[in-house]
Amino acid sequence: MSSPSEQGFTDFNAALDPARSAVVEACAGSGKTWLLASRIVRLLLAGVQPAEILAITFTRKAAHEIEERVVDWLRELATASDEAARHFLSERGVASSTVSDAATLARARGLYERVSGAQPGLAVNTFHGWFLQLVAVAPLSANLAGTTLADDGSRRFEELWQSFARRLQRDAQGEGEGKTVAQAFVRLLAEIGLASTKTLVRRGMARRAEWMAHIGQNEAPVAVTVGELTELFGVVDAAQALDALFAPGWEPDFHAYLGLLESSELESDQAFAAQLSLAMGLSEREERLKKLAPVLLTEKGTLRARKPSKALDKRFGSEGAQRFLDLHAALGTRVLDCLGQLQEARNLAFNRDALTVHHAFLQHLEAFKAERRQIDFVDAEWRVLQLLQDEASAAFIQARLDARYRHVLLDEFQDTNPLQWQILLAWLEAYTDAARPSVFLVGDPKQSIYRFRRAEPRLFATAADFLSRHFSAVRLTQDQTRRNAPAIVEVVNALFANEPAFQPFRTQSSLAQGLPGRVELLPLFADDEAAEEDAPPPDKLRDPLQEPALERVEQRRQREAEALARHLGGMFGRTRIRERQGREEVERPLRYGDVLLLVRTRTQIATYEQALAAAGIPFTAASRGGLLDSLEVRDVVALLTFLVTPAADLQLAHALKSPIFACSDEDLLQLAARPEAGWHRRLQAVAAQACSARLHRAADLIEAWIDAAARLPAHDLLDRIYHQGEVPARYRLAVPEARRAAALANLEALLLLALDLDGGRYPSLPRFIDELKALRAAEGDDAPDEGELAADEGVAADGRVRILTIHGAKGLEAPLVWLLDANATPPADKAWEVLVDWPPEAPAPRHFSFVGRKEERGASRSPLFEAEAAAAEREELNLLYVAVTRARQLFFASGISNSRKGESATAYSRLQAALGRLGGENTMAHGEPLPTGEIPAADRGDRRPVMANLPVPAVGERREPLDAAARFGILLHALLERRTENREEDGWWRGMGYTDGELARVRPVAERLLAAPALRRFLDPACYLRAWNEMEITDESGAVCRMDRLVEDVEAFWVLDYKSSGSDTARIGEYRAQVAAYCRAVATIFGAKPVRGALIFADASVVEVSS
Amino acid sequence: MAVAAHALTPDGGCLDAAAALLLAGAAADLPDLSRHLVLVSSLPLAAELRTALASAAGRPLLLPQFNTLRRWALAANLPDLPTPMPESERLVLLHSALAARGWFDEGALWGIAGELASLSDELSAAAVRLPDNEDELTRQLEQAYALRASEPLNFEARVVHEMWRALAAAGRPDAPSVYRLRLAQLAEQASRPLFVLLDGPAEERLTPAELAFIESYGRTQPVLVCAPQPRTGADSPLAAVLAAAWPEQPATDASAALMTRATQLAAVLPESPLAGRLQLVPVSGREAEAEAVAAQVFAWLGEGIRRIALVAEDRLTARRVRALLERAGVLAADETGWKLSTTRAAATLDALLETVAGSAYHLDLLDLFKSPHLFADLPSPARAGAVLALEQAIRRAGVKSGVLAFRRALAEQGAYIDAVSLSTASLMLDRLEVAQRILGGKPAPLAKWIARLQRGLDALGATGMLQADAAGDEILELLTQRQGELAESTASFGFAAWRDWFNRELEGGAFRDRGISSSVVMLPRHDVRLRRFEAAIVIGADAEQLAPAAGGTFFNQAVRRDLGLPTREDAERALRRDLELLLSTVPRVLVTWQHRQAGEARQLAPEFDLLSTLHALAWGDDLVRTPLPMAREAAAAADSLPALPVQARPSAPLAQVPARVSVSGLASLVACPYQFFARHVLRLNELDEVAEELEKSDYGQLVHRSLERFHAAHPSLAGLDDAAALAALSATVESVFAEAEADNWLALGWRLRWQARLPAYLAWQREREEAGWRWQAAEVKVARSLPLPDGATVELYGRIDRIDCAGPAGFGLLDYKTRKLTDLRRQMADDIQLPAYALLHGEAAEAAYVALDDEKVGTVACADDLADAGAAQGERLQAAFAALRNGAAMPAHGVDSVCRWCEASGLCRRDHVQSV
Ligand code: SF4
Repeated sequence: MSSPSEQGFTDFNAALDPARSAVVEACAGSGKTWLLASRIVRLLLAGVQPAEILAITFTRKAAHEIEERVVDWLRELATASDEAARHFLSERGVASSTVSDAATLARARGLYERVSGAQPGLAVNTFHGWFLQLVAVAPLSANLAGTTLADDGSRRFEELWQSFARRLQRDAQGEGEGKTVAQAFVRLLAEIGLASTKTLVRRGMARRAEWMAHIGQNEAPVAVTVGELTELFGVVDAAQALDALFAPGWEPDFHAYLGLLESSELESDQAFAAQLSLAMGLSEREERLKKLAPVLLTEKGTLRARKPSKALDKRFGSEGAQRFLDLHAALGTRVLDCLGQLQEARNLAFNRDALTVHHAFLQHLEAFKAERRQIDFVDAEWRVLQLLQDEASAAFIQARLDARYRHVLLDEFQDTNPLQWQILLAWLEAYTDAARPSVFLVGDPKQSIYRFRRAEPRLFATAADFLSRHFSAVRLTQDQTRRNAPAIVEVVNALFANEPAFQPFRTQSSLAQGLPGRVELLPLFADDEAAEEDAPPPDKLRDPLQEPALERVEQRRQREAEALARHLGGMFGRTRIRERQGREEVERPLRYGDVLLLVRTRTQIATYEQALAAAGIPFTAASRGGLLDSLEVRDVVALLTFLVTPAADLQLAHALKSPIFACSDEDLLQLAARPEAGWHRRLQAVAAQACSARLHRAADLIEAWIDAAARLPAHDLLDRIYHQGEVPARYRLAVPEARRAAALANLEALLLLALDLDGGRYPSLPRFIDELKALRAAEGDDAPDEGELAADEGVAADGRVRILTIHGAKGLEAPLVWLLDANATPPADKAWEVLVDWPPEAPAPRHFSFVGRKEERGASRSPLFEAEAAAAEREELNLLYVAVTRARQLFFASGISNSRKGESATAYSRLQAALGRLGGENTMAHGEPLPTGEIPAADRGDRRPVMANLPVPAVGERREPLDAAARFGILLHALLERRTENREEDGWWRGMGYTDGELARVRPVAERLLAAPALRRFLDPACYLRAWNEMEITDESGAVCRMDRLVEDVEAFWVLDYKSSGSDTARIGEYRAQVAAYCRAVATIFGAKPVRGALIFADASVVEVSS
Repeated sequence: MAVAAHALTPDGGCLDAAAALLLAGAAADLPDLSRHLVLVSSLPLAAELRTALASAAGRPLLLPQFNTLRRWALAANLPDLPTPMPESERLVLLHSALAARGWFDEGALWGIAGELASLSDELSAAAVRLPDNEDELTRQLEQAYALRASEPLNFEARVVHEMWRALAAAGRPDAPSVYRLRLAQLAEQASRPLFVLLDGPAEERLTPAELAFIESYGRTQPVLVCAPQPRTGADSPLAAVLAAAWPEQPATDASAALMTRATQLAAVLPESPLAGRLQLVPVSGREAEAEAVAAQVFAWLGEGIRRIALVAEDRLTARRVRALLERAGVLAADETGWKLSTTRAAATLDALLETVAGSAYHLDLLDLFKSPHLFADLPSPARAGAVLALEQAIRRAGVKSGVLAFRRALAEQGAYIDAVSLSTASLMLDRLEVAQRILGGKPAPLAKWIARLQRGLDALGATGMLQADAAGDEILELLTQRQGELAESTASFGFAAWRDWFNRELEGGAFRDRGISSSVVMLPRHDVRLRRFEAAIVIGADAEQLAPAAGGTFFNQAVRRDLGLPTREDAERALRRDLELLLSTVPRVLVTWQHRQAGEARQLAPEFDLLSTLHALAWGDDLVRTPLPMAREAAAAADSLPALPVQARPSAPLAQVPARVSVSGLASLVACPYQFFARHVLRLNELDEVAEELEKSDYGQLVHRSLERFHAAHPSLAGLDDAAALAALSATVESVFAEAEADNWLALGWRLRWQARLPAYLAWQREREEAGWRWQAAEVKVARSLPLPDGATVELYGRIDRIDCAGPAGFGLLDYKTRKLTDLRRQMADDIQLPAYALLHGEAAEAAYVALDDEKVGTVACADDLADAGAAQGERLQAAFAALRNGAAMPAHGVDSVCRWCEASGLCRRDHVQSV
């Protein structure tokens, strides 16, 4: 990859200088990763140990990429020619004098080995990864030992939500704290309903880190927080609000106003007068307010328009008129104030309840985790902060780590959240000034798009200041991209240069001079008018058997999707793009793999996928967590479900229709017609009589699998089903091309899921099915993702069109990027949210409250809401920036016309404006069309070579488990062996896999033998010279054979063989032969002495064998 | 006498060389080597050395005694030595000691106890003695950590030290110490010549105690220790390459640069000794890896290579490999084994404990009852029938947990269940209750808990089947053994703590399927050492998995080094030693790793990465190869091949066209004929599910019921003032919701939601009465049969929520909807229900939906020409059925909004039907 030196990076040397701390703000495509990796190399070159480097980036993927790149570079250094190695170094700002010196070069070449051998090695971390490391070395006193990491997904929330409800139900009966919570909960249910309450609690849980930071060590957090809010809202309750309006002596003005109204002859005024006097007569103040408000205020709650006019003067006389207007204004404001106050009072009450429940729920959560020794990422974050803020434990942790970080590198800093920043501060605090590390920080506030993960872009500035103050860090900016073609960069500048919300923005420039590029907008897609005005109601009802109902669906998105497929179809293989190859650029036709389709959210993706599939354009689904919803997986799950629940007729039928059995509707009809109860019985019945080959096959396999389902772990069962059911082969035949690869990948993913679920612990099939049900029900994060497409499936060479969310595309680039649904209005802020104000420099949030419906937010928090809104708008712009800057040469945007006119700006409208500003003749495009040229379409044949199915010899065999007799014999031998050597280490028989029971049965026999007079000569040491148990000999052939016992007495060697049977055994013949053979072998060894053999039977009888 | 050490050239001939040495050393005794003792590092190796010896001798021999040092030492008869404290007893001891001090949460204790136990083993094994007083240790830690004493540090010191003392105080030595004592004594008694075959340098492979043993054994008896020469210093070309790749001391000066070493190698060795011996194969993803491995095994087998080692660095992938091999009839002998917890038998036991813990939550209970191990004494068909019946009863009744509730459910459903199943099912529940009672007992010592578990299993008739199951038997044996060891221990534990303990046992214990004998062996890395394999595959050789073992959780490397405990450097050296032996003794080695996993890059283990780089430098080949492709899965059987799905459009034989259809059935027919086919021709429906929580649909029903009851009691509000009416209705609502709330309190939310609407509803009801309408009946069943051209009829039937009457003005049909008025309006265009009701009722003047989910309650009335609308629906129904009876097809053409919730989508295959 080209280097900043070619880019004329503004003094990038300082950024790489190991001795200095640095803060780099670098625009998209300017090689942040290059810079980070290069700094690591420079550090190592300066003699820094790998374990002294703490590098943190945002995602595991990025972390691994950086590691990989560093190692690759070091390998390159170690193997390249001197000249190349020198170039490499000077590219990275090593002074030419140093580069030329041999020692440096040698050191550089040595790095590769030093790093790969290092213990602990070079590790690029994510924040999470790092926190978990710190947790692992936390002092024992932190009581984190033996905790396991749990993901705080929606499933856990559901479980907690249910148990929380059960607890409240109990507490509602009781007294004290619990009861208060229960009551607050019931009030919420009544006020805002079950769903919203649940939403509140969930969102509250998601923000618990801020909550904990906000309340700190506080004893009564809820009370305190409510206190803060009371202050902010400036009201205690409704009564107080009304007091303000109806303070003693409130009447006169109203009377005066009433008087004037009554004096007016206008009917409307008369009506108002009547209403007003009626209202003033009311004693109940809230009622009174309700009645008199309409006199002064409009429906919308604004002051009624009363303007000075001749008519008015005529009515009241000139100063009467003036007085009337003054009164109207004054009273109006007073009423408005009071209404506002009432609203705040309601919000306060709502917050009191919400915070009470919220806090109780968090305590419930804590208990839940404590019981299971679980921590989740939030805890890790939070606990680490606490540990580091305590001097002693911070010091301990730094000492306890095997690594000693002297250099800290932070990537993608714009995605950091305030809590993480606080942790970093605490970490840096913990160093003694002597050991102060260098800090390198790189990021781009323009690409901060993770507000929903609490990322705080403003931290970048804060951190930069902090570092330049305390670490005298140099600050550098880099606004040159090597990625985007000039045309793209021009549009970027036009987009953002005078976008107030996007300041400060420095104009960017492209280093890819001469690289053709183009930005193009497709006209917005509208409903076609014909469909719009509903066709006249048909005189006759639709015949459902003939014509399908026509869905009143989004025609517009349909059109957008079709246009997309059409456009792309026209460009593949024709439009020519430029590709870097090493240091050259070559021109080649556009491939599927060159295209990146971006969406804001996943919700609409299906439509685009269908269009692509219909056009036969291979793509990788951007959908997530959809594995269990895909038909092929549902097929298999249906089968499994039936296997554990034979009553599941629908699932059986489903499985039968799936490619696994490929049964037809006729087959199903045949089963439906059977009299037997339950489809399983029916299937057995038809299989016994006449039925299709398909049904026969199904019946056979299913019987076998039902049996296996009970015994096998889920994974092994699935594997058997896939194999015996020829599952992959059949799906190849039964899934249309565009979806085939995905289907196969999904089937594979399911298999691996079965293997991996809960580490394969306690793998019963029913439990697996229940798990799958739960996983499928779970939202987002928990639901398993679709299988990854095997890289080598069919279309490999041309790759696949990728559909991604803008978030997912972070850090990626592509020759052609297409922003879909670009005219969507930014998401409106949700009701039932948490409002947190955590200024970047503050150690903890300053504000924490719950927000109800938009229209009921009240005035006192509006500055906070405005700040939120501003941040949200800024993020919209960031998203657009990220989207456009993914494109190397071509950027398209398409969208659908907005039904609601005059909406806030959209990505599309902004692009349109920008193109306008660039002022080409064509306001829908900028830049030159790329060269095109027909080329033969690459053949899409499956390139994957397939190994010939050469016959595999069957290898290995299942031993029949030994029968009781054989086991008895073996144990008898073992026991005799030990008794004759008088050693019996305890539990030896268990070691051999025998039970105490078995031993008990063997022992008497052994004793009988040991006691038998006839055997004394063999078993009593007094009677012989030498004896060996389990004696092994080899015969001429070199074959090893083992005899039970070999005894040497004065006149002979005795080869003894124990038999657990009696002497009357039918096999006596073969026994004799065997012993005889042993005798011969022994004879060849001890030529001198005679060798005799004997069989010893369980009944202590002896049969001599002569050789 | 003395110890003679002899280095073997590390290559395939290693064992023969060893055998030769053995023979030479024992020449005097030939052919009777029976007095010789041969100790090797593993039993399989012993077997191989034995054969090597036999063939080397070329004549009959009385073979020496073969064993491993450890087995031999532990088996030896040394009556006057103490027996070590069993692991299990020691854990309990530590657990109680920790608990007594109240330092940690109950839940953490087993884990910490386990860590402390292994730490103390490490200490004894390394013959390390901690300083006698705690402050000493603290000082030592300060030193090693380079950290001033502080609360955390002191605490770590205290924990370790106190526990260490607690163990010492127990008065029984631990296994390592006993082992040391035995070795010492055996060395004393040395009476036979000793031959030791090690698989690495003695100082690396043997503990201090073992080294000492050999040393002193040598004083009285001849000892010959031979071991393969380490790569450095070995004179084989291969060793030279490995030495160059993995220098024992990291290279420092330029002359020793990798590149230089490479060129030097190439200079002396024009041919790479690794060429053809080692392949590095990157794969993307687990399945790809498993396939690459299996494919290679098949290829080798095809070439007649039989003795193949599968080194399972990645257990999960290894498991996939095993499955793929078995498919092709290749069974691998397993020397590693799986955690007991991953066996089906363990699942049964856990299901039992879970059922007890969760007071018989329905899913756990069914999981348990469906286990193949239970109720062996009941005839299996009866068992299956009973479980089936029980499950259906539970689903129908929607009961979540509790044996009592299940009994009730059974009773309710009794009518549908055959006598045998019914009695069997309740018998099973009886026996479960027994088990629950046994296992629900008070805190008790572990031995007692084990006894309880055993009795519980007996009660469920599971013992027999578990014993018959290899893994199950292993587990039961394990329990009996622990029971024996812990017979004396009195510390008592609650259910949770006991269950933790049990889970840890199942996690710790390995199950080895000894039933398979095969020349293809799956084994841990270090067991390949020196054995004669023709080929080996290292599965999962990425930097994360093929890594030196990490030390325990106590202390960091610096401290461990300082204490004299093995550090990660030692582990690293051992790792390289293993690989060195593997590469030099096995002629074909394949190394696989997932270089991409879920889109993330993964590095090859540094050992192989270095080797590859060196090799590339020296011979221009980085040894990286592409995976062998797996033979495509067997082609599908011809007679039942699936084809690309097309739109389903079955037609039903006359006999199977239903004669009755409900209004919802008609709606289904209109929405999508295939859905109608599935539901009403095939009569396939979802099984009921047990819901955790009240759902929207249930809410609707409760609302209906409350209104039905209320109006049954108060046909008209005339007699009631607003307050009274509200009170009455509210009371009704509460009684209707009561059960749901008892079952799950969140139902309260729904009730409150409905109660908030009550005033609005009553207001609407009054208006209606003022308008002259009188409530007449609710939930009215109506039916009407319509003639068909072929003389048959089709009966349409349904149930009307509510019928009002306005005297002469006629009847009003009302249908309650817990939805918003606007939503309902939007759907009136193709509404079927109301006209259908009108048709069924016959004399309705009005038919309307009552929207119950807005501030105000309002109605949407169906088309003004109600009769015509009804008639039209009738005609459509008749026409459709006439067509169906004539074999018309029922196409699957629902619209997305219908399909999204359609349970038949698996039957019509919609998602796979090619969209064009
Ligand atoms: S999924 Fe759609 S097409 Fe298939 S049966 Fe159901 S409604 Fe009809």
